[in-house]
Amino acid sequence: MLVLGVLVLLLPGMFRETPFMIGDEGFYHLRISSELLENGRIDYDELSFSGRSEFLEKGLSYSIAGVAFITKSSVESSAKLLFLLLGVVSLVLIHLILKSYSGDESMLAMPILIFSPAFVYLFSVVNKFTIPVFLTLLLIWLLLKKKYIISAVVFLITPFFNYEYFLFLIFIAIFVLLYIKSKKYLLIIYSFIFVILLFGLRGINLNIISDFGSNIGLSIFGIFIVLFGFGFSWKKKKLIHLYIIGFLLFLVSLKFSWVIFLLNIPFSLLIAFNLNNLVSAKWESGLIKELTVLLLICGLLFSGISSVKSLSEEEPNEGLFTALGMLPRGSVVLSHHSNGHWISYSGMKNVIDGFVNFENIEERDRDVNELFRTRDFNIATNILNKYNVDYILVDNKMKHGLVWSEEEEGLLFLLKYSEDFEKIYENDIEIWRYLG
Amino acid sequence: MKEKNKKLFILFLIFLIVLGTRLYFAFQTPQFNDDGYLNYRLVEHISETGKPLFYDQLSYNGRDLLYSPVYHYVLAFFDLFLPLDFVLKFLPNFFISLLVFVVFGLTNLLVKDRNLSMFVSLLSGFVPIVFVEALNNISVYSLVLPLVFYLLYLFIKINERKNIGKFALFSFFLAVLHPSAFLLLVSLLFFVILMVSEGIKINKIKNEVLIFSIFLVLFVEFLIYKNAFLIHGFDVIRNNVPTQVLASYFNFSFLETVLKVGFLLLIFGFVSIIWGWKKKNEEVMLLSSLILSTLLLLWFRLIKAEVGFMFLGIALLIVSGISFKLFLKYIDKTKFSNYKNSITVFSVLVVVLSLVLPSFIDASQNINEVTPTNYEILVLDWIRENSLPDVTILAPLEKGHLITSVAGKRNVIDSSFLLAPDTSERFKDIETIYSTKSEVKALNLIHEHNVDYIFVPIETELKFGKVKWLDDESCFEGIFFGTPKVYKVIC
Repeated sequence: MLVLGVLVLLLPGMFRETPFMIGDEGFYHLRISSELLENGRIDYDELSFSGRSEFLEKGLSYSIAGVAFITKSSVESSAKLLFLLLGVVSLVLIHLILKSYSGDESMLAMPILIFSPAFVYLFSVVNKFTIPVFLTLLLIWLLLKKKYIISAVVFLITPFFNYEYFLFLIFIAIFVLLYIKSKKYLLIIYSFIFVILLFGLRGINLNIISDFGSNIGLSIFGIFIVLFGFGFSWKKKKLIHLYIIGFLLFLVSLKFSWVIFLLNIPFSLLIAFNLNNLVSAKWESGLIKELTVLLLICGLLFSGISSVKSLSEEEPNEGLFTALGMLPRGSVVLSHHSNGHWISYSGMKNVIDGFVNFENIEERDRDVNELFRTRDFNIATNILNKYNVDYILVDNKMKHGLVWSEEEEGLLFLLKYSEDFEKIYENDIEIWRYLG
Repeated sequence: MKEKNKKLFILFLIFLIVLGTRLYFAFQTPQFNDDGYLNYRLVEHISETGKPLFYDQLSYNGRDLLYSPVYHYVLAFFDLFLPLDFVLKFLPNFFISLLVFVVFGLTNLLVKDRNLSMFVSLLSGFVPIVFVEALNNISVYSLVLPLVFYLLYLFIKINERKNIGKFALFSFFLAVLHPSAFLLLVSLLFFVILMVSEGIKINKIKNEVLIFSIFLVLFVEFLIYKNAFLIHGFDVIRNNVPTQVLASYFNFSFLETVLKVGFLLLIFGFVSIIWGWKKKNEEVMLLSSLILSTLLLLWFRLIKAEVGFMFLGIALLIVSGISFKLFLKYIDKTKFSNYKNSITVFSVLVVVLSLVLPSFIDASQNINEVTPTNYEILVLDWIRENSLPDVTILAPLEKGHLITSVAGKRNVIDSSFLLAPDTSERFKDIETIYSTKSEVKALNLIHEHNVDYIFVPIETELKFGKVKWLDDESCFEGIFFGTPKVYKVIC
């Protein structure tokens, strides 16, 4: 099973045509890890938002730098190795936890988990949730083994990797505590307050099905199996606890997509139980039974493999780094915020990137949007001068819906007709030098 | 036995009447409907190369095509020993005429009256929307429609062991044939909801077959249309249709339903459904779940109106059999029972005329209006012979497939929207080119889309008026001045 796990986790990298890693925020962690490896510490980030002192939690960057220091390899290879190891150890932990819950049936849940899109993403893309999820699994296993002091230590190191996740863990801990102590009314009030607080937050994430393009998502076949199985479980009063846990995590994942990483575990277990029920049930038609089971297995495999394939085709592509490689290090490059981490990874300062915890983020965001929309030369130059922009990077996705949808819309018009802009690179990506 | 053979003979005769009538209209013209030319080219490509066309260099100036080539392979197979044009005219009409047998079987299950079932099966050949939509456009629905209703027939008779294997086989065939299998899936889910809400127990084998079909359709469709689901997500049901066309593409109104399906069918159909629900008749529940799910999909504009009306028309016709039977029984109980034969003949005439006449009128209109004229074909043939191989011809959306198929040149837009690039922008640009008075604006867009020839069909002139900037001889060289007009871009 571990071999299968390793193989599946290696697949996205094997299918990938570029040597660059998958995702965007991962490139921030790789850059900070390099800095840490070089200087031992980092207090000021010169490249993100053209310079800032606020940082994401540094736990992940320190971990990658630590592995790179021990193995004497590049931060990129170290990150890959670290995530693969975390994936393998997490599988072992999940197996041990599930075994204590369900006995041998957990063996059926393991391949389902390994081929689940969320699992593949979690351990093959550098992201700040992998270590917290791993720590949570370790915590659960230690608690099951009644190693309370070590588990408290594990619990307390989680915020170094992700504050948001740590808060979620505290909520879960209180919930479990109230449940164990059988404080029924307190539990109901507590859950009620949590749900109100949760849905008081803005935005909702409905992109939770991997087959519909979500990277962090659930398999549509899995969802159908779990839903079909619900009727059966309800009648037999089986698996209700697991369904409740799954439903609660599902509710939270509508607000925080990363909760799907956790939801994925009870979800895989539910699929395994329901598949087992389906196989062991007496069917009127043997042919239909065999075909249905075959279809379900193929469907689950299909979701996993297609998510591996789509992950391997994720950005960034080599062309972007080729284009950025032409620019002098330290120059200021303006582009859409989704390109920000790649710009800073290449050694250039970005005007805006994917982070939201920056003091003037709203003003900056407004300015950049206004700049992209305007055809007024004076407005454009004022904003460009305000942020000392040297270069403007425009890629295909920006020209096809992400920012503009017309050929000469907004800033594209000025880039084309104003003499203050010079096109210095054109391929799938255009780079314009601002001469003003 | 003799009686049975006689009935079979009559049924076969009905099939021949329906097929003959369809072929009479289809062979009125050597051409196909504008939309039919997409399938023409896809079948032709398989015939020539043996492989399906998944990258189309001509459509949208080059784009990926995502479709199931099963139907095209079926047609291309017959091209091995028959001329292609004949195959593409004959086979779709042959397939859709098979509906006669399926409708007979289903109606007979409902009314247990062979004569009445035969009458309904005759009518099924002349439901106006079905008659016209699958007449001359090589439509995949000519095979999908009989298959869906045959699957419903097998589902009703699933208790007979031999039907289980058949159901599995044909549901797989439907799933690989066309995404319409989703409609069957929704209908089956609706059937479960209806049965549960009425407190009727679904027997075990039906439950098993239901679960199997749901997973089968999901799996096959996700396998074939994986890229579309990944790119468009839930919006895949909108088929990437340009926003400006959405309203007419998914157009659905009560009045249109009445006109396309037929007033009498709607009345008889819904009376039967009410009767069936009252009697908790499982067969009626199944057919009404198809009707309700089609109506629901039409209402939410998730299915093309013409497609929805086809399913609706046939399903309503089948359940109407019950109303016809009730009507005849009712006459027996009234003082008019002495005139039963006259009344029956009169009713049959009314029903037949209400379906057959509109079918014939619509078919004639269809042949005259949606099929390209001989002159259009002549013009496109000339372009094929006398222009460079990789030129792009600007034409309105409706003529897109005609350009790629007959002229063999690149187009800017056509109605194959799935995975096509920037459909809304292209549609808007083309409307702007034909409607603008500014030559500069038009030229900008013409250059943007690398247009070499401009095709102006009569429909476009009627819609936007004369395109005046085409009179600038320094920029546009007139080649054809009739209907359609064709200009070469020379500046």
